[in-house]
Amino acid sequence: MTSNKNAPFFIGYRPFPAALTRWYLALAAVFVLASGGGGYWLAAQQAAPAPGNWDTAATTTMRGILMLRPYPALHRLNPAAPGGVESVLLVRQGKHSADAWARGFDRQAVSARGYAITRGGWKMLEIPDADALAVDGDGGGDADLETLRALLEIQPLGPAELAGEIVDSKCFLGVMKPGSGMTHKACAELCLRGGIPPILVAADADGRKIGTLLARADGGSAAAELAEFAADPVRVSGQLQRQGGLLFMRVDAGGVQRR
Amino acid sequence: MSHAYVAVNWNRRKVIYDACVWAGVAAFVGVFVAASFAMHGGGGDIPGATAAAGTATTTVARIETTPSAITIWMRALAACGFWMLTVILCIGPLARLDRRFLPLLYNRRHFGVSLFAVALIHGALAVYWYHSFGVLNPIVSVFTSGGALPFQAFGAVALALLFLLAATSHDYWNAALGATWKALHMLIYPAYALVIAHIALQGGDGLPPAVAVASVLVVGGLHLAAAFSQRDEVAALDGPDAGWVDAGDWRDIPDNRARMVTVGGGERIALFRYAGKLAAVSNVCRHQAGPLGEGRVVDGLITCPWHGYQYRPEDGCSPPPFAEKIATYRLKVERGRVWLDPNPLPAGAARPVVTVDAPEIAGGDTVTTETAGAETTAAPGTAR
Repeated sequence: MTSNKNAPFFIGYRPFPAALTRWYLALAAVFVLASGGGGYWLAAQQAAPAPGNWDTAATTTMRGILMLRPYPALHRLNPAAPGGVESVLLVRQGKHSADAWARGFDRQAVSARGYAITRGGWKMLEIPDADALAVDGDGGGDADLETLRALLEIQPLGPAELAGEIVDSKCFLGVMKPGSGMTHKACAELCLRGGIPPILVAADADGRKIGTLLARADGGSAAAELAEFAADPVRVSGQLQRQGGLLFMRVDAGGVQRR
Repeated sequence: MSHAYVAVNWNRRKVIYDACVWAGVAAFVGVFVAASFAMHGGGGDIPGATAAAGTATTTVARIETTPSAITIWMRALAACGFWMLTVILCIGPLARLDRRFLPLLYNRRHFGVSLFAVALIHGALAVYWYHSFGVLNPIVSVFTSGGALPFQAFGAVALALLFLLAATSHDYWNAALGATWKALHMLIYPAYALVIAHIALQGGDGLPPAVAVASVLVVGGLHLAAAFSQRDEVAALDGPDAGWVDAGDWRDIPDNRARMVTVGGGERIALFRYAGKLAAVSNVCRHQAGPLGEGRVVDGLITCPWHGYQYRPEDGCSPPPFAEKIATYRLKVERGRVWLDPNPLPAGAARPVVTVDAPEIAGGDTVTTETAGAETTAAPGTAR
């Protein structure tokens, strides 16, 4: 049965029933407090985004050797980096690969200007325009270049199978926080369709997160063909290799399976 | 309709109502955003180029940073919108279960339009943040990116429905669309289902699925409770016997109120007792299909509990300057029992009104009085 049948009859265009005033003051207070409390509780349920920086305040200029495949990257000597080489992925603004702009500079000493994106040991440079890439006449000295070129030889690390999530590197490394997960899936798909390098985020035996760039078995970009797998739990098998500071997996044909 | 329309017929209570709604929105979104930055604004360390084959070292850098502001605002507005939608869907059954909630229903459309505004900003941020700057048109991306069941497509369709409801929430459209208007606004339920799918398909990355489950349980539970309560309030009568149906003892009908009946499972009919008379009319208000039988007779006029639309008991017509009309029914009283002819008369049709306050009537005679004409007008200052 309906309760409070004898409650004052409210008509919107007439004076508000005085007997309901206190009831509505309490109800309004409950609504506003519940709204604030709900906002706090739901904010607390959100997973903390991992740290990553996207420095859009100022451009950074880097010099090194540009390698085009599988994804444009600038490599430079850095004794503090693993293997003595620091590698910086190159992308364009928006959700686009830097491949078209970098194509004429493969294996050359170049300088690159852009906005730095960093997360953990990963570095990326967002190139604002085609003129931001230029041949670097000096390249840090011929001796250094020869040393660097020697260190950029591909090192095979053997077959591997990893389980994790495929993300687009640009968002994951700091442009979006969080830049992974199902809510980010469509964005990751767009980025990968645009050629942004895909990274498999997996956990090793100790539960530590590891990041591995994914490439095609022939060493080319696998971004577009992996787009459909973004954000899904997957198992990826292929051949691991290292080039400079970057870890790659050349994915076997049919080497990506949804878990 | 014969009266002029204005965008919003503001009065003090509507201003207070909207202020409370937006105070709730500000509290929810403000606390969500502030708490997100406070709780998640620290740093962390994520291994970078760690070798899976165990041959390389791990480079770990700790970077102090904060969540993306756009993501936080987008999520705050999404969560707030879902909270608002849940509250809006609870108002109807709450008003049925406890009439103290009826004033919330009076301006519910303001709540709905506010919900659409919140949802629109959420959607615009999502399109800008996740679907722009790529190789696809952002709108194409909304419907084609994200797998076989893209959660954002469900949200986009829900937003389109909310737009439809917000755009037609004005009384102009209510009058122009007639009975279609109510059916159109029942689309709030498909919109709610789409929003639930929008949340569920995010796999827990956005709102916790438990929140959606709790909302469904509360909204569904209140609707069931309200429907169950109506079973006690509406008397189901058997089909007519020789054109008349026994609708019970007229003295059981409270003064200035109604008894609701259905005959043979048909439309609900409201039998009002007022000023020593009885009158039967359709239970459905012409405005938003509100339950007239749950209303009162105020100043001699049947008054809808939802928005105060009024009808003369004598002929089912709204008093001038208003022009709504509802169907009327014939009644007669015999030996203290009221008999109803369940065949509706045309909307606005005058018919004999039964007088029951004379002492001899209580004993059993039947007296009917022809309506003398519709003289009642809307009370001065009436503004819906």
